[in-house]
Amino acid sequence: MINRRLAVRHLTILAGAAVLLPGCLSQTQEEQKASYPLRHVAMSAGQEKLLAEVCETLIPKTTTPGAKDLSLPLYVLKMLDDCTPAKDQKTFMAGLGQFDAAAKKQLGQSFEASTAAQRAALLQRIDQQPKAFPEEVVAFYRAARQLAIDGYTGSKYFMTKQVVYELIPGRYDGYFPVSKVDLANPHHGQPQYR
Amino acid sequence: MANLNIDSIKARTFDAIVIGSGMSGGWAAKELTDKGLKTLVVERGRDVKHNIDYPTTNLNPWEFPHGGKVPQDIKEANPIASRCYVFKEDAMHFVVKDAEHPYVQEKPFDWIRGYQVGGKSLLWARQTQRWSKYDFEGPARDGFAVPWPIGYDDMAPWYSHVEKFAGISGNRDGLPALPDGEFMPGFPLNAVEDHFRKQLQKTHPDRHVISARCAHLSKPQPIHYEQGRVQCQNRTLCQRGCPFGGYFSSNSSTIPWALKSGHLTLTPNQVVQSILYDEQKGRATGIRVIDTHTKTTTEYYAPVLFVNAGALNTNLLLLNSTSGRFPNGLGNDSGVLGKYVAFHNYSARVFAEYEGLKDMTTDGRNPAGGGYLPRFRNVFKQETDFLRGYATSFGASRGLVQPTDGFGADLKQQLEHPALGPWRVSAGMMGETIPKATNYVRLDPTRKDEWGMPLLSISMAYDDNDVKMKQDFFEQFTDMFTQAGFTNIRPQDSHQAPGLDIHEMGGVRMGLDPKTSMLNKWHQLHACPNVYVTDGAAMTSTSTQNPSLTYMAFAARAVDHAVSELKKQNLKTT
Repeated sequence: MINRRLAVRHLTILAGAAVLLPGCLSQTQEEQKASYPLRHVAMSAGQEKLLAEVCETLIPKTTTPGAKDLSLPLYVLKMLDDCTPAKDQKTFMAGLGQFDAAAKKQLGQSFEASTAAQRAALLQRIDQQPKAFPEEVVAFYRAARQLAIDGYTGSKYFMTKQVVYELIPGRYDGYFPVSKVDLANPHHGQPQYR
Repeated sequence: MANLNIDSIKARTFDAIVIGSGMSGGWAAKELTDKGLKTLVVERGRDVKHNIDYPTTNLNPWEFPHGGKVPQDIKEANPIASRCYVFKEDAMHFVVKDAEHPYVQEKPFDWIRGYQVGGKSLLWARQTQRWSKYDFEGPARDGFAVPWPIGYDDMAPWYSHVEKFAGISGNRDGLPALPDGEFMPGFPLNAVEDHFRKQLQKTHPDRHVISARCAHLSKPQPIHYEQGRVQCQNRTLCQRGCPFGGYFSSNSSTIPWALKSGHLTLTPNQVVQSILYDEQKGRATGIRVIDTHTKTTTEYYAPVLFVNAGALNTNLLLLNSTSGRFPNGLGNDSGVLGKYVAFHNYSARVFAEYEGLKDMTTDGRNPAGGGYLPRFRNVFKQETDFLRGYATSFGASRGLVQPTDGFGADLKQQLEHPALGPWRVSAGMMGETIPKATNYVRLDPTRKDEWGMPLLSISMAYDDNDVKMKQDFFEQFTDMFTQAGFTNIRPQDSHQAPGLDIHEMGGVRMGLDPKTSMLNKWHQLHACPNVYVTDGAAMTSTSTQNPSLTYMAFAARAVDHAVSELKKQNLKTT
């Protein structure tokens, strides 16, 4: 009985340490500002790092470049800071602020300490069971996801290697057979996403 | 000292002055300099040189700081400009910002302006249709406004004249309601646009879907190469300024042409405050301008003046040009100056999808935008419970779609392997509005802008006729779309304020009777004939065509008249 209580106590301390430890370490990161000069949003270096991991989870490096390779986190930051209404910025930041707590509740550890599979599972859960998460966390996730997708499909890499953007088509055919369209070929000549 | 003064006046004296360098001012400049007149063009905005001052023209989407989106603070500071479809990151530098040039909205009016050399000709939608006799005869037949003093036969040769130079693509469709012009090959309808055309032939033989006629060089001619313009490359990035000169703008065409003649002096950054009137001579003698940066005023002189400030600014300038003879604005004996302004009703669209022709798509991009339905209501006689009618833009396209519900590697796969989406179609109404005395612009009695110009106060609104016409548009297109086999048909009322159509017209209307109109059939002020107004302000009625081509033809026709009058010494006295 005692042993079990002790064990629980130790566990609690350990868990507490696990909660505290990254917190302590990230103190300095929280004091530090984000790497991008933000005009409207107050984001710490720690939050920026977390956001980068969320982006990388959404668009991971595979045989092709991932979010970090393409600097998508910076794109998300810039679009959040420059092109997002103040109300939505507030919600985004509130959700980002609560995100790690939500991660710990679900995964038992911080998002950054989790494996790629665990991270993906968490995001999937937010997507499919939004009611199980605080409203702001869901709003943050949805906004970050959309911005990451926009950043990816609008990146130079994507628009030159995946679905190729043509600055100068020099042609228009109004009766183009679908049989001649090869969507697997990046140069398929169909309209771009943007 | 006296000699210096005389020299200075001489240096500021020209054969002709053109106020404004946009669509019609560029044409006036080109025609005047072609005829050898030493011409001054005064532009209130900055200079925009073809191919030099198009900072975004060759940028790829990823090269824009915000992927093409307008930053939120700019959006919030510019609620009016932000409603305009060209106010995006790639072209917002060509659109007037709200705070820089305030005006008064007695009723909601989105006034979209482009203050620079070339004006809005850089940004226009490039749609070009001639007016027919049925359009010019409208007011007389239907008993509104005043009769036009000119008809199709007066305009036809001048339409031809400007079409050849500007370069218009289109098909010879042989429709009485929309006369054919001097065309290069039209851009083709796509499979679904063509399907709708064929369906209409069966169900509504009097309604026609044609290739939209537009000012794009589909097959450039020697006259276009001479301007330094080449074939349109289907970029559809026109609003940035085109490095190929593939579409017509003052910047790519008329202004450099006039400069090449050696007869043109172009002075940007000069706001014209007033037209100078000499009571003894009984004519206008010149203009007073204020430099937008230094705020110094200068006077320029010429025996003939062309006012092409852009419809509402032309009203503002004439209203502000007062004298003992004209206490209510230059040429305003009748009191109609500023009244009977009108616009086009662009507030209605019908969207739908088409499940057929799944084996077809498009390749490349169509600068014409797709199809066009000339007005089919009340063309030859009155048929409905509303006056006049609407033309319609009609387009079909197939986008790329992809599910985005995946995660990680799956999401990447989805994004990288899109599928062809359904055919989507849309019809946009372009309705004629009826000019009325109750739709007007006037000078604000107290407030002035940074350059001492009174603020323009605008009062324009839709009326019952517009409401009925819009209802008819919704009904007709819902029916026609249904019969063409389209699905998911969605009428949409944008409830947009007048102005966003960017087709504001009138206020200095033409007419036969000086008691009820401002301009005669040659665009001269009845009461001050050495002043010509050849922009949208001259419009007696609006019909349904995109108006720019008509303004170009107005300017060329009026210059021809002015030069022959100058030769006959007819402009010296009233």
